[in-house]
Amino acid sequence: MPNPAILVCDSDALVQFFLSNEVRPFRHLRDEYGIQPAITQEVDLELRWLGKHKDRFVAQLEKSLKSGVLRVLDPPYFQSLLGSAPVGASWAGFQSLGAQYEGHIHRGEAYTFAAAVTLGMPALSNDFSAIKTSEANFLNLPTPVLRAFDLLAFCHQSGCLDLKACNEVRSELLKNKEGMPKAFMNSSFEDGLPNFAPRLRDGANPSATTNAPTFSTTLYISEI
Amino acid sequence: MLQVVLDSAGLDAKTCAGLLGISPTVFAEWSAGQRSIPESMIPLLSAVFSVPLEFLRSPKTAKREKPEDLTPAIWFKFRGPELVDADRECVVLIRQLGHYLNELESVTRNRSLQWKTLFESIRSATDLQAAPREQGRSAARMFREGTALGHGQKGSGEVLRGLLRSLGVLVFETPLKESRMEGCSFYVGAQAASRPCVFANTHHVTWFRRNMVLMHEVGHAIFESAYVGASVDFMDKEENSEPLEMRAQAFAQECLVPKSVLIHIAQSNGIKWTNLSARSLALLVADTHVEQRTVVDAAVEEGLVQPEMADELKRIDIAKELHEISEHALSTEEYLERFGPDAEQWVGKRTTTLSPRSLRLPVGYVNSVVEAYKNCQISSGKAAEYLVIDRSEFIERFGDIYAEAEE
Repeated sequence: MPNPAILVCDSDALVQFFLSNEVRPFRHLRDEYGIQPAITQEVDLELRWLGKHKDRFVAQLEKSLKSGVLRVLDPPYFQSLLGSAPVGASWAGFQSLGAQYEGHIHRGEAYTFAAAVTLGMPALSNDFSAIKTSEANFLNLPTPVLRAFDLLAFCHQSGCLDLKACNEVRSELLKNKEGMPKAFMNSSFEDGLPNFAPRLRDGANPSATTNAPTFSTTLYISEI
Repeated sequence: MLQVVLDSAGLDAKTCAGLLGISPTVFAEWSAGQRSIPESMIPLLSAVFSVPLEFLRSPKTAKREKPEDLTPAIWFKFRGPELVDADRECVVLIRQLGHYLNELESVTRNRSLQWKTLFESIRSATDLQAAPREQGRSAARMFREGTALGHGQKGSGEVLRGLLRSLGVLVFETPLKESRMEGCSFYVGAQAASRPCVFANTHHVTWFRRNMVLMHEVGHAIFESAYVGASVDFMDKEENSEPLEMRAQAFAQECLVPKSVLIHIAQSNGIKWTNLSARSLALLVADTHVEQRTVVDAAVEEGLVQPEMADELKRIDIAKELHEISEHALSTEEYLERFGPDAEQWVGKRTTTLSPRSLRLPVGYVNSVVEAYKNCQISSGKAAEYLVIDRSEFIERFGDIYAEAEE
């Protein structure tokens, strides 16, 4: 399986990287694996004014967009991805699916999931409530939905981030009362890692499973 | 397009952006037509500002229109000199919540449109050539017959809000300290899914008075609000001889204190109309759920009390007696002290915290949001958006149903 062309990122996961001022994982994905981290227009809008944080992340967002570490999934960019998308995928279909998801989950997650499902790409989101609500309402989910810590663990595995950098991210998130997987709540990054099942791994898939992929299926990617 | 509406309504773009949780910079660019509005935001903006969807999608269409042809009727009403920024901001927030309520009801499949048939039948059966007060009374009798109000002979203040909600009316009560507005009514939601909304300012207004204000606004909503954009009533206008106001007032009075209710309550409390004391007046107020002057006015109109006694009866101080008899006369602190910690269930859980202007949301609305979350129909993020609070605050207030399942 080739690497996916993009990773559709939601604001809650991006915020965790912005809070710890760590965007190397996104650059690593783009440069070493050819996976472009992308955000929907809705997530772009959300990051420019985000609840209690207000405009705190605008500078980091602008910098990431300018450097190409992140790219907005606008109509032209979306159209350019349709070649490898499932048959019938279209911008109108994505918008309509997004509106359908938005009845149940927050706008950012709704359009992130809708874009990923329409294009057949993975998503990055920490919102477990959005995942469970989508499941409960028979809405398709991206396969897989990565969490911020999947990306962090992956970057550690692939040598992009050392333990110190990963622990700094974890500390910053704890300081900001951000959520994280249970394995890391009371353990350092290295102690939590053995109890964490990452959904993103470097290398070929060791098992040729026939099970239908789900939001928690591990995605195997290879360096380009 | 948006800028024209904001200017003509006296709304500040930066404040509106804050109220809607949108970046002020981006909102200013949308308003000025410098940046296109994402399709996902158009239904919300259209519902809040009452602007047609196509004008927001292609502002060039709107540019051909004159500014006065673009300004929605509701904003003509709310730009008057008697209104302050707080009023307009509150209306923006309420209209946003009206949109959210429509979204929520379409997901929970729990939409009530009963108001439509009821209001329509009242309008068509009312003789609009009759005297305004008679129109109001006749409409009230139809309203009582068409709802559960007509089934009892007791005060209806305690069931009023639930009844209006079950009809599909959005009922909003919140303190607006800086405002002189006592109540208003207008329609919320996109044109195809609009519903009436009645608002009462709770700042320094008793629950008994608010019952009257809400029904007065329902009177306006039945007859005019849909056609004139909105109806607005101010605190200091005691007697209003405008025909529309007379009709709405008569509607409210007849809905809440018809003769049968007055007689039943007086009889069950052994009250003699010829000998009303502070205690008996307090009992009448406590049981009819309307303020003293409304009880007296209704009793005079129904011939139970001599007109010349009215002023004297209105001047009797019943505060002490009412305080002893009715829990609705207690302040929040007194209520909590009397009814204990169980009563604290809703304290502080209904207030919005993300909007620049804090509002107290209706219990029914908050209940619907929390229930939809607990039934897995909406996520915590969506529920938080509907309650205009942060996601972590939502979890803190109402719990996390997925806490155990999460890895």
